[in-house]
Amino acid sequence: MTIFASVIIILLSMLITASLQLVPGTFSCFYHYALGKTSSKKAGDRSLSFVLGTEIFVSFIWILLLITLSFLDPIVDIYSAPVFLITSGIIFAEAAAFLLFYFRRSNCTSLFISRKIAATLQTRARKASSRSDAIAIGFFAGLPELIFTLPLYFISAVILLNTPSIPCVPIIVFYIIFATLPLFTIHIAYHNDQNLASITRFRTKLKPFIRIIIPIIYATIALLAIILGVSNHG
Amino acid sequence: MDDKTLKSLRSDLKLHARALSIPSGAADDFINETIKSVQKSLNKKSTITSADLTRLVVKNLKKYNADFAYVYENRDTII
Repeated sequence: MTIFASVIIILLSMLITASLQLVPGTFSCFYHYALGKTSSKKAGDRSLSFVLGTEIFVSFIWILLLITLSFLDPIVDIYSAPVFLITSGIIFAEAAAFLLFYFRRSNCTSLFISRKIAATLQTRARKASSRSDAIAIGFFAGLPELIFTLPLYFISAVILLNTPSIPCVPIIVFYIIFATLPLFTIHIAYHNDQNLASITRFRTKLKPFIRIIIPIIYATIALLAIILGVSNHG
Repeated sequence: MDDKTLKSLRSDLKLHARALSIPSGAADDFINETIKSVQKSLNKKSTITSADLTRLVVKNLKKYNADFAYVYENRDTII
């Protein structure tokens, strides 16, 4: 039961990380501006650099968490009921915050981040002129969304460090690739003659569904975390 | 509309048109007609907000290409 709950928590965390909209939104703008300034081949190359930047960011968060938790583990018992219960409380709060605040009230896909940060991302996406710029934007685009993803990374890292039967490295690699799957989907869409308008209209249509389903997934993770916490205490 | 704003608007529209794979000749026609119509509408006004300018541009772009108008209208609300 605990192994089953642990695996489901990690899989659902991956699903939420892949479903959040800030990085795909920034990526679709970035690709659009790249197409406006260069050939489609160069735009495609730069977009893959953006994806690499995002993967580097996710890897960085994982490495940071694993190192921190490895240091903390001898001092504080991280695989304990209080840690799971506190984390599940935070995840429940995130579910409510997502439902209420994640998408701004607009006809498009504007998000909770301040308009200044959104404008900065938009400007950087527009001005990017090299692969290193693309990697940098890909890396930093995920930063404002850490508020919604950090507890998920945390609980997945705690589970992986303390469940030897779940293979750590393959799961982390799969997590990193899964988190960037939407970007590959957008990349393929642009290659198939879709444009920013059709992609944004699709994302706008998907908005009500995401607004409902993600809080449900957050709540499920929180409940499973409570079950894990209680079963540890038992 | 001053020259700086006009130049910036024209380059912005050209960038979006190119990104949307609108043929350059057609794009130039759309942009020129749009800017002409916008300037005509602005003839009697001394000041205008950027939101009003966007609305005028979008209203005219919609006659030529729906995707072009959509992208220009929502360029600040995608992220």
